[in-house]
Amino acid sequence: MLPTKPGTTQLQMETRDDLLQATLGHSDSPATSIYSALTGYMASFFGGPVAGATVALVNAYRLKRLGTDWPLGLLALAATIGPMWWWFHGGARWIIAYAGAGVQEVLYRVLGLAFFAVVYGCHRQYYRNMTYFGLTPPSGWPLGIGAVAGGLAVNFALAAVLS
Amino acid sequence: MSSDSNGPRDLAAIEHEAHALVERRRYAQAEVTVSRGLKEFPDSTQLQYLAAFIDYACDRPAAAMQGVKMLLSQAPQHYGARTLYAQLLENDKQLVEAERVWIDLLRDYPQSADCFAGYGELMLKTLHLEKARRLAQEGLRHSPEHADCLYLAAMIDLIRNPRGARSEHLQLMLREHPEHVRSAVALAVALSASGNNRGALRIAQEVLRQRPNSPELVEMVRELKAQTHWSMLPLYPIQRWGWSAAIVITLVAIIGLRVGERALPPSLSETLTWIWLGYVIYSWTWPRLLRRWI
Amino acid sequence: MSESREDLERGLLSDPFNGELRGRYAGWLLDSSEHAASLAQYEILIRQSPENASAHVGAARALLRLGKAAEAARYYAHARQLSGFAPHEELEAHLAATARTHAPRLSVVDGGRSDTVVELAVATQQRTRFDDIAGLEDLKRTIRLQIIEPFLQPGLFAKFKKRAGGGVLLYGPPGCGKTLIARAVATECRAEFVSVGISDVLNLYIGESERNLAAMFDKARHSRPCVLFFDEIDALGFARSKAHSEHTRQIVNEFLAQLDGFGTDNRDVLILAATNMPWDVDSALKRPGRFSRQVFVPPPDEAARAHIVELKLAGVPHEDIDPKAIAALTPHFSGADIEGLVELAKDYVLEEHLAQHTERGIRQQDLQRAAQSVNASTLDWLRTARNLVKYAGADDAYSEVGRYLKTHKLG
Repeated sequence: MLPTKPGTTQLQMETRDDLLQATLGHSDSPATSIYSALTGYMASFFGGPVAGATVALVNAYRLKRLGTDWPLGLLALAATIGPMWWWFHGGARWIIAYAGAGVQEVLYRVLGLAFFAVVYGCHRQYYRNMTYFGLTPPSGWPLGIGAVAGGLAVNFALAAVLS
Repeated sequence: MSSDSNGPRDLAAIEHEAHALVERRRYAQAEVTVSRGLKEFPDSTQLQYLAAFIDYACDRPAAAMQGVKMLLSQAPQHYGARTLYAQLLENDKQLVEAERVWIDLLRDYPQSADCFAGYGELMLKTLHLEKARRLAQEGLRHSPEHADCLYLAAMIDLIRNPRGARSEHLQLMLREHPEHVRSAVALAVALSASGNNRGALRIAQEVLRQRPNSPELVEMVRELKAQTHWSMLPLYPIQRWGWSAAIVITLVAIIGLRVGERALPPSLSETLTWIWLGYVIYSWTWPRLLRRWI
Repeated sequence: MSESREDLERGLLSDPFNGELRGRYAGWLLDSSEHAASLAQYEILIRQSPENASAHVGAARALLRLGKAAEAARYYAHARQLSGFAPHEELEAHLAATARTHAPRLSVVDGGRSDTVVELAVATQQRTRFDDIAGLEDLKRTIRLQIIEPFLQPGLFAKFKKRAGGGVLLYGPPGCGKTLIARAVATECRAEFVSVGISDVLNLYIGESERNLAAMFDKARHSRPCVLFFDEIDALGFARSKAHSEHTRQIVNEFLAQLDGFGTDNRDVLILAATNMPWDVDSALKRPGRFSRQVFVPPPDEAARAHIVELKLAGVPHEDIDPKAIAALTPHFSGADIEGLVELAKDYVLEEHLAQHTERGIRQQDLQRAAQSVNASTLDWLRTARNLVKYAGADDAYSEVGRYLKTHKLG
């Protein structure tokens, strides 16, 4: 559609100056998308909260809201260390007696998904923004695999320390 | 046109004809008119602008950019050229520069709802939701029924709360611009977000009937056709409630299978496990296959 | 008004295809004196159900309140032909008054610039007949039955209660002979042929375009029996929902008024139109009584392509060409594409002559070689049409395109 030039009346209505400050900064290629919700979901499912937090914090960095979202990292550590400590200090006996052997696998997945639910709650508007405007997320494979590998490594290390 | 077509015509007549042809998307004819006009009036900034616009509309971005830059070097304040330049920069992913152009335009035309809408769209494409919302609001403050600002505001309402109270902006847009293509697109998105994919499909098809050469609309219809296909019924909870449903279903499956392992006969438990795995594989692969098939 | 505006709008947001609800909403707007908004809603309702008499009556009422009396009369006159019509007192009186006064349809805003009215030349060139068009037998049969015979024998068709009258829209890819067919129709109908292009109508000055358009119709009426042919009708009748300027919309309004022949008489004037972009034509132009008959003109079939090859080679040095073989190599080619192919073959021969000084005629191999380099220009159009048929749930108007695409495995 051909635009029509707006009127040039001198009536100066107040326009908030802060809106006319550049937001995209001076970087050459500001992020126009974040890693998809699927990447975060899979990372959390397979790698636990630490893996999920890795994806979430990378997205927070791309969204320039690391200052708001950094507690997710702490939450991930707490969600890993807390249950692990409980597991190695009596929790395992109690729950295995109740739910049988192999239940830690289930707990691990539940924890991962619960953490992803929190991350999704924080970033859902951005996921919807991308969906509605057809923005393409970057490929989640490198980050996803890296996050899962890193998450598993952290889990093993913490298990070694806490046990 | 209806005046003597063999003799010299005035610039206004040529520009009018070119505008009329561009409005009707008769770009080939418009190009001929503009070229002839530029031979007679090579300094006409409006004709130069139309030439660049035609290049842009005919998917020749390099030629459009060259034309726009040349025009801006002669007439740096040309409004149409500046907005076209911003659009070309965006398409070329030069987003920082595009933002600068929009800001400059807004400093020169602080009441322009068109510019607020253009800048707001750029902000949405770069995931700056809050700023996009404020820009749309500011545009509506100056022009309360501006279609593009209403569209942005309606889409932001949907992003923030897809299943909440009906967006006032969407209602206003449907009231004031019922025939606008963006009204239909926003309505289709709203219907889809509230789980009414069939309604969204009908709306999208209606718009596609008027613009069958729009790849974005074709893609939208294909996506909705896939979503409303009968074979996608098992995925209805995920379509309707999104990731919340995916998380709940996964948790229920994991816990349920665990309970089943202990409480049910092994063969039944194993069957349920296979069903669950089958559902997971189906949810991963079938939508993609269906979209290709459709 | 027991329902509030918010209730109605919310209802429409959830169920935009509820005709009864939209009708109530439009009525609410009309009663609240929001005439323009009411008209927009009635237009949507008409688009969703073209045979809805009450929607036409509603639109007429809204137009009357907006001061567009002539348009209101036209909508109301059309509503009267639909089933379920219930008379409206105010509009009945208005219609009667309008019919009596024969008010001129068009008011020229800038005051009668008769010196700029275009003299319409009635085409007197060589008559094209159907026999001159090779191939496309199915199409010719359809046109004969739907267009020519109803024009020549209106009484016969009336006996079988077949609706006659209205215009016919030829649509299809560019360069496939729509104009040629229109000329052939005029010859078969034993009528004058008057062709109107966008440049004959569009004018810079407000009101002039409408005057020019009205003048075309008047001239055709004075030359009857006449075939009045609008080429590129998507330009003149561009969809008002997509138009940005009021001028463009007014031209369409005038077009609709002329087609309805309200206050005038379009008997013995067969109105044909052609377009490459039927989706850009205003939907009101495609409603019953206007261009309700839409005929798809496909790319030339094999017989037609072979004939075109022969025509293009006539008078040009060539050696033993098998046009049928060339036609088989060029599916979906338009007449213009075949012309391009022959031109390219000529270039090959001339190139060889200049390089090697060997003079010869065009050979089969030259045409075969050219066929490798020339692409059918109709494919873009066919791809767009495929989107319409496959994805847009297009109605019966495009059923012929659907069949063509299926037959040629393009669907």
